[in-house]
Formats: sequence, structure tokens, C-alpha cells
Amino acid sequence: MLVVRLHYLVLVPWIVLAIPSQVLLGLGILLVLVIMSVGLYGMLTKKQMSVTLASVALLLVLLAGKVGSDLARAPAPDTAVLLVQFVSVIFFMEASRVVLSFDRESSELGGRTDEGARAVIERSEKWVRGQLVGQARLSIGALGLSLVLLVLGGFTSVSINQLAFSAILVLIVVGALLFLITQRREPETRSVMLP
Amino acid sequence: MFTRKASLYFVLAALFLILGLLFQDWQLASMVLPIASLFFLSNIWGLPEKVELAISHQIVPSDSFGDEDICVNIRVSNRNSDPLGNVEIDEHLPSEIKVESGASRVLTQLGPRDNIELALTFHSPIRGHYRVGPLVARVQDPLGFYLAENIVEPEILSIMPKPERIRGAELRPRHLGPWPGTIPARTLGPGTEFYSLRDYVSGDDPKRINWKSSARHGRLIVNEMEAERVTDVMIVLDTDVSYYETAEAELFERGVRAAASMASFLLRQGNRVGMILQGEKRGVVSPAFGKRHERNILFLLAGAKPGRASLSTSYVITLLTRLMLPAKAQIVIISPLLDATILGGVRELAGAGYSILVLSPSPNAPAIFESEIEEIAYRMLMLERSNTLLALEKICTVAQWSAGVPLSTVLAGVRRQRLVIRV
Repeated sequence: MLVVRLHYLVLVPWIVLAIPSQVLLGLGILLVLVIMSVGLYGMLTKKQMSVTLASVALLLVLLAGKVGSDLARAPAPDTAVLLVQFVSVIFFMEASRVVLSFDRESSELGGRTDEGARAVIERSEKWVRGQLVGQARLSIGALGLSLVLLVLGGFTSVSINQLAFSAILVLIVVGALLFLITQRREPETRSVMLP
Repeated sequence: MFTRKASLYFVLAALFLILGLLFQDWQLASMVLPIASLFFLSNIWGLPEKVELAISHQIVPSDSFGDEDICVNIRVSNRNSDPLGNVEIDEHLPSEIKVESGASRVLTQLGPRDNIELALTFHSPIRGHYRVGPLVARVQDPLGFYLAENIVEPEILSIMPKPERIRGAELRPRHLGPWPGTIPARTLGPGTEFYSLRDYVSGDDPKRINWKSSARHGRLIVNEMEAERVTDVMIVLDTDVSYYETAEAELFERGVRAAASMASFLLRQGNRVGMILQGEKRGVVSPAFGKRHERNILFLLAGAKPGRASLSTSYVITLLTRLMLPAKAQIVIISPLLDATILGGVRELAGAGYSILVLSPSPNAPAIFESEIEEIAYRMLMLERSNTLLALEKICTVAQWSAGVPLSTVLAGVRRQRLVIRV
């Protein structure tokens, strides 16, 4: 859990400083400091909003850096590294949510030591471990699958410059995504909002 | 079902795809792959296709007098053979309830065909009805893309006012029921109070022979007793208590306690008792007998709240009592008499032959007044109340109840109005 709490210290500089400085108009260090401060503040004060804000900002910086590199015709980063960075941001964003839920649960018990509270804490500790392991397994699995698909895609030589082909590709990908989301699942009904 | 988060990730994937095609950058487009893989793996590994959870909660006890701990037992069972890694159990509790043991929100895992039992305990809150629940059990995959939800409707916890053990007032309504009770019936019958004497006839119980009287008259004389019967009573609790904020709650609670005690006492004596709550929130329980009926009345009183009445108290009590109570029965009105309009209704009911007892909890004077105007207002209010009391004393029995005095003491002082024959 400590790694999740302090992940901004490593993840933010790694992602932001990897982007060419002309893309970020030389504000890389400032961005690092801002995102890191907001994220760490959220983690230490157990504020979900700050943590989500920092993670989304990091995701946007990653996206903007890639688009900026294209526009500035800067050298493209390694695809595998880009994928690892992207999956790491998603993993840590979700892991932070889990850790903060656990923290909220613990703070609600307010240091109580009765039998019921101890049982709840034990369950929560098991839950947080299970969740982090589950998320790590899914993230590593997704990364591995992406890399395999990427390598397989590399064997086929297609050009995305052809307009008709690109349109078909978009449709296929969107269709595949929708299929993956909705397969075996019912559409969402409104979740219960507790008063 | 898939969640909003899944939709957001879908939008992100679409964004990567569009940008990738727009800038003709396959690296950007390839970012769709991890998202698609996450969806695929979450769908396959994250959460079973069918989630069958059985959840229930039970409040023990579901109604209380507020002098014991309340326990909510929650049971959650996984009826499938797949484990559930991310289960959130959330029992919504009102803000007035502070959990002493256990927790209202639990994050846990459930093994195949596993079940968990949770218990949360809290001290009984103050009088009132509380919605405990809904109990919600949410099962999600580790990334929260898919969700299965089970909901159990809220249950009501009632904290009822505790009736005091009181001695009764001397009620003498003219309407009496056919069953034996405690109210003197002004007629011969089985009872405890002496009524008259008559000559002994064969078959009379020798214990009833009045030996002094027999010696005086030279023949056997027996005592005859006054029959004691039950009656119908309607208790009216005036919840329109607008007074100083700090003293208002105490004044109101005293009224509720008196209503509960009177209802309990009169029901124990075998009378048919009904209850009318008159104020912002109205409520009625028709007159009936018995223990279960006592619960009904206390349940109604548990939900009583002070507030300004939208309908005139006079109108409501005259209408409802006439509808639900036989003529010449007993009415007990519990009111601080801060609103003089009640007088009209009492006058009308007294005119119709009902016996009326007005029990008036006296408001406490504030310790300090914030301004001279406030003091004048208070004095005017008390003067108006005194006038109402004086007017009421002419038409019915009135008992004033000061704070700190036991209710029994006040009621013991209540004597029935003697009919005065004017010549």
C-alpha cells in the first residue's frame, strides 16, 4: 500500500520528463511539481477528488505529450514504454481508489477495538490485498495482451492513410470495444444513491 | 451491468482512436489496445456472469422504549460457486444513530457459497421512527467496470415513549361500557365502593352483612356496592407547541410522556382508548382495547413532532371525537394551552355532554430574556394562557402540570366536577 501512496513521486517525473521539453513549453518541472503535490496531498489527506484529479491530469499530459510530439515533429517514444506508462497510470489511479476506500473504512471505525470493528478491519485488509492483486493481475494481463497484439499487428502491413480502410478500422475497433464491454452484461440501470 | 466508469474508459478509447487517425499516428491508435484488453480481462476474470447474492437485515428489537442497545444483524450469502473478490455492503443509518460496535459499511470478499454475518450495535436513539436501510450489497470487478447490486428495503426502528406508572385521576364520564372496570357507574353492581343498604334476602353472601346496621334495625341488612365499569376515552395530544426554542422540546416531550402514560394506564384498567395527535403532523388511533392497541398508540406517539397546526385544533378535536367516540364519553386533552382557540372546541364538546379533563404541562420561564420586548411578549403569552385556563375551569376539569412534579401527583389531585344544584 505504501507503493500506491507514494507512486506519484516516481510516476509523475517518469512520464512528464519523458515528453520533449518544447512540447510542454519548458514547463515540465512545474507540471511535475503541481501534479505530484496534488496527488500526494490527496493521498496523505485521504481526499479522493485530489487523487483522481492528479491521475486524470497525468493521463491528459501523457495524451497531450503524444499529440504535441506529433505536431512538433519530435521523435516518437518507444511504443512499449508508452503502453507501460499508460497502463501504470490506470493501475495506480484504480489502486489509489482502493487504498482510499480502505482508509475511509478504517477512519469510520475511529480506532475502535471492539470485536465487530476488529472483524471489519480484518475483512477490509483482506479485501484491499485481494483488490490490489486483482488489479495488478488485470493490468499486467492487459499490458501483455496489448504487446502481443501489437507484435501480431506489426506482421501485417497496412496503411492507415487509406481513408476507406481507416473508416472500416474505426468501425471494427469501436464495435469490438462495445462487444467487449457489453458481452455477458446487462446495460446499466441507475445505481442506488443512498440518501 | 457495466458502470459509468466503463463508459468513460470507452470514451477515452474512442478519443485515442480518433486522435490516432487524425494525426495518422499508429502509436496513439494503439493505446486503444490496453483499454480493450482491460475490458476483455475484466469481463472474463473480474466478475462472474451471474451473481446471486442473498442479503437480509434484521433489527433487534424493532421497537424499544429507548433504554436498551439496538442490534442490526446483516447476512450476506454468495449462492454461486464463483468467488466474489470485491463486495461492498452498505447499511444506511440515519445521522442520529452512532454505531458502537461493528460498521455500517463493510468491504469484503466472499468465497464460493460463502456467507457472512455482520452485527452492528448502537445505543437507542431518542424517541422517533428511524429508517434503517436500505441495505445495499454491490459486487464489482477489481477495476469497477461491471457491477451487480442487491438491495433490501429499509426497516423501521421505533423508539417509543416509555409510559410512567401512574395512579389515575378520578374520571367520571356519563357514558360507560357494559364490562367491569374501575369507573364508578352510579348503579348497583359488583364493585369496591359502598353504594346503599338493603334487607338481607336468602342467598346473599354473609360477608356483605352490615352488622352495625343490622343491630340498629333489628333485622339483617346487607351492604350494596356501586358497579364499576369501563369507559371510552379519547386522548388528544396538542403538538402545536410554539414556545422558546430551548424550552419547547422539554414542554413537548412532557406532553408526549403524559399521553403515553395516560393511554397505558387507562388501557390497563380495561378502557377503550384512542389517540389524536393534533399539530403540523396529525395522527389518529381509533379507540380499542388491549396490549397490542397500546403498542399502536405508543407507535403513533413515537413519531410525534412539534409543529404549527394547519387546521384549527378546535375543529379537529370536535370533528374526530364526535366521529370516533360515543356521546358523553371521556376526553383527555393534553395541551400547554399556548393557543387560546382550543377553548371553542372544548366548550362545544362539553356542551355535547362529553366529560373533559385538560392536562396542561406548564411552560418553564426562560432563565434570561434577551430584550425587554421578549419579556413583555412572554408575560402576555402567560396572561393569555391564564385566561384560557380560567375559562376552561368553568366548563371542565383542568390540571396544571409543572416541570419536576410527578404526573401521578398531578392526577391524584384531579377530582371530578360535582354537579351543583342551584335553587
